[in-house]
Amino acid sequence: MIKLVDICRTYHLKNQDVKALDGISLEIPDGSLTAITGHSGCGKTTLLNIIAGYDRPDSGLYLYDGRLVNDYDERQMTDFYRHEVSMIFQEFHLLPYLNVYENIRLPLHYQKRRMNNKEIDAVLGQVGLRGYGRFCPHQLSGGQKQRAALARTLVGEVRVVLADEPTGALDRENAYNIVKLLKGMKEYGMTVVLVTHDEDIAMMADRIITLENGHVVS
Amino acid sequence: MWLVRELLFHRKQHYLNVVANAMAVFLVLIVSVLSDSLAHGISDEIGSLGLDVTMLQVYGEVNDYWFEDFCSEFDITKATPYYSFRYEELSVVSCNDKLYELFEPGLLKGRFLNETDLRNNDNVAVVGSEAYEKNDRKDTVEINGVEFRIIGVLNRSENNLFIDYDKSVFIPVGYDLSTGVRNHSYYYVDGRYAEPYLEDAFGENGYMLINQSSLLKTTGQMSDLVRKVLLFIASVSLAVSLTGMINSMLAGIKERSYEIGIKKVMGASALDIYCEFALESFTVFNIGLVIGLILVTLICRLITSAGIMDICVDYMENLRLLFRLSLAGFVCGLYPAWRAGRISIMDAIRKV
Repeated sequence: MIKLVDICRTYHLKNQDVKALDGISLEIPDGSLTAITGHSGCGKTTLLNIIAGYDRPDSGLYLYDGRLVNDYDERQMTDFYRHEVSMIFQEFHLLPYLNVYENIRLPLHYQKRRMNNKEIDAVLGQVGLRGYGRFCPHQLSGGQKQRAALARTLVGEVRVVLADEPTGALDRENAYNIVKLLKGMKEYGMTVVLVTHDEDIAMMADRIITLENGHVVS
Repeated sequence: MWLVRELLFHRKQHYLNVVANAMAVFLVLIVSVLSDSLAHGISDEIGSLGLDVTMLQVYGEVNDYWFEDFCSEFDITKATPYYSFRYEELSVVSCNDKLYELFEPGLLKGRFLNETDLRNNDNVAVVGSEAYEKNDRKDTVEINGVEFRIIGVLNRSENNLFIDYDKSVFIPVGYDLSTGVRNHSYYYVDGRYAEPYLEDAFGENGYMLINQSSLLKTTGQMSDLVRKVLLFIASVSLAVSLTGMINSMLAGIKERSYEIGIKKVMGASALDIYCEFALESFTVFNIGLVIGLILVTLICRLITSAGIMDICVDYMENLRLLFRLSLAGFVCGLYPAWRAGRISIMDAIRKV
């Protein structure tokens, strides 16, 4: 379970300090799909980065399965990225010089695991991308790229999937399909946290957290 | 496999590095190979003289008979004094019959001085080919008012370390016709045990010994020094190329923070990124090294086939140099790799 207690994060810009998160406390139960919504600049992505461990809060506690993530050293953080959380980005973030197979093998490489093309094809089948293994990212549409990114997350066998506006660059139909796939990840026991502007997509989640000026309002 | 893809994908960044490294490596290797070949050539040339004659030059006046005592003391059988002075354009040399045995200059006609000539102090002389021409091929030659009958003419001289036969006139050792400076030199073989005696007799700075081995040693030291100086100069170009590579890698890291970010998000540790970048720079440098090596081989073959010089690239001999170059390339890639490993995910994904 993810538990945040009184999390604060301030960005120090040239002439002013911007409080992105101001005393956020929340709990995200295992195996749930949580949507985080709010206006631009309300701190959604900052919150997601802190949950992912990419950013550290200035104050407050971040507990993951009862362990204090704030105190993790570099090695523990690397293990955390390898085995616990995975992020899906709006821009897909596939390495352009690797084909779909190789992009999907990327987390496996760092986890020191192996998967042959047949096994990866099975995962690609789950996201509706069977037969695209040898395609390079530039040969795929936006929706296909996001599916490949989802497949990459699936093979990583992480426990928490964080999605930062994964449908932002997609049309309506593709967006719904992606959210359906994210919802399907629950079946694998994954916890999904989704940042979105789109209320319709947010409604598909088990729980909606709304942020405003760095505070949780609902 | 990924490394190859990455290298190909970022090839534009690496093209200039590879070219610069190849040129620098080429320069270092060609200097090494050419200087080696030249040094071997010089050594072979000196070695091919086929003599192990020692030249002893004594500074200052010495008793004419000391050399006989010296030779009998050390059982030196092949030896000759060599008292020379300049007369007009000729070099007049007082010597004995052993000079011919020592250097075997070859005769165009006649004979060399023999024991009878020396014993009787006959007015006979042997002349070099140029001296013979200058003397209008006469049967006699006049030196300081004394007329000598020419009994032999030497062949045009080939390489010799010590003597220019062509302009010389050889007369029996008993004659001293010099009016000015007369050089006291001696030639002998098998006298290596005599050196401590010479130091006692003439003092440390009273004499000079030159022989084939000392010449080989001196030329070896000289060529080694020249090689080192040239290698140092070539190394400067290598240093410039490596600095360029570091700079370009550092700039490349900024551009590739996106890729580093993705890898870190996927679970790459700082060490993983460090190793990947170090391997990449090592590979880039070694591609340059291989190209440089191929160029050197081609150029050397070209020079050899054109008959300019016989150069053989001894890869085993240059293995240590190649290893050092490769190590230098590897070490220079470590700093950019370390910087790449230190990039945080936040810095990387913010730039995306």
